Amino acid sequence: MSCRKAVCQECATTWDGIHYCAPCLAKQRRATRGRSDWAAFLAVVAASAGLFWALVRLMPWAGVLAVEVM
Amino acid sequence: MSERGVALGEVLDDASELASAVMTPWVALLWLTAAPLRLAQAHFLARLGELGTDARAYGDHLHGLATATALALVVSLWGRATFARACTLRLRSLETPGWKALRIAPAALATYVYAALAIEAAFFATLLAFVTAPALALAAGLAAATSPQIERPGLLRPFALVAASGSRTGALLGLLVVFGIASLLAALNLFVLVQAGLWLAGGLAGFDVVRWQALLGPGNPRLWLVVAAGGWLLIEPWWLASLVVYVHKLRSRATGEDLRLWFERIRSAPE
Repeated sequence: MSCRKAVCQECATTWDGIHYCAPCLAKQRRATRGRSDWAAFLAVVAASAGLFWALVRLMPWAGVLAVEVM
Repeated sequence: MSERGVALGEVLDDASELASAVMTPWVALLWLTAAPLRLAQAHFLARLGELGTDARAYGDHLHGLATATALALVVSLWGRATFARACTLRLRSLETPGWKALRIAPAALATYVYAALAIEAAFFATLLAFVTAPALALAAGLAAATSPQIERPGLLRPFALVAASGSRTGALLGLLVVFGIASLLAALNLFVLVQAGLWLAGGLAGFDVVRWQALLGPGNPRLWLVVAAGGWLLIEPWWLASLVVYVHKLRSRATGEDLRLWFERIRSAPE
């Protein structure tokens, strides 16, 4: 048990070979989720920057094309 | 879970009530953040019209205008997300939201901005296929309306929320038609108001009628663009409020929140 508390076998959950009680398991889950949230946040920011760049180029291209077609 | 559809009239009634409830300051904030975008779009279109077939030779100039318009779009997205959050908080708590409507989680805001930029880029990429424009306008509105439901950042999550909300196509098509007509009527009213103002000002001593007639007369294409932008700007809070109500109704029927709100209304009603 990572918090060194004594917990019966039914109340303990094994994760990566280590026994966790419910609060420790929740802490571990939050830490894992926090790391994946950061990665997703960075991916969203990078994708937004890419889309902004594309939008600034698409706008004049589409406008000029529309003027030439009409 | 109720299989009952979402009635268009019910959505419009609730949206009208909701927009009035959050009028100060959230509708004002939405207008303040959206006005620069609408004016930038009108200016961009006006310059394209003026340059005509020579527009291709003015790439740098148009690129500069597009950058300013895209920046104004990002500012307006913050306003839209805040307004949608204020509307959602009002629907959930039945109380006018305070300043906590401004506290949007950075991850939720970034995810919404990403989705809205993707929809905007799709709009320009398919501009010549006119049929995609209403569908993308609807998707942009639904992305704003579902933005308060975003809890974690993700590249697919906002589109999944939009797709899940698009199940009742009848009500959504009805909203598109109603707000399309409302936008035209608002623009027409604005145009008549400008012309009436011009006619009244003509009676004032020292008023340069010829100059103002050239600027605000029907012969100036820029006036038509500004009036169209103003028409859409005026109805935008009711459009977004309608979509928030629609999304809230769909979600609350699935989660049973409609029953909780119903009990709360009965308990708070005067005896």
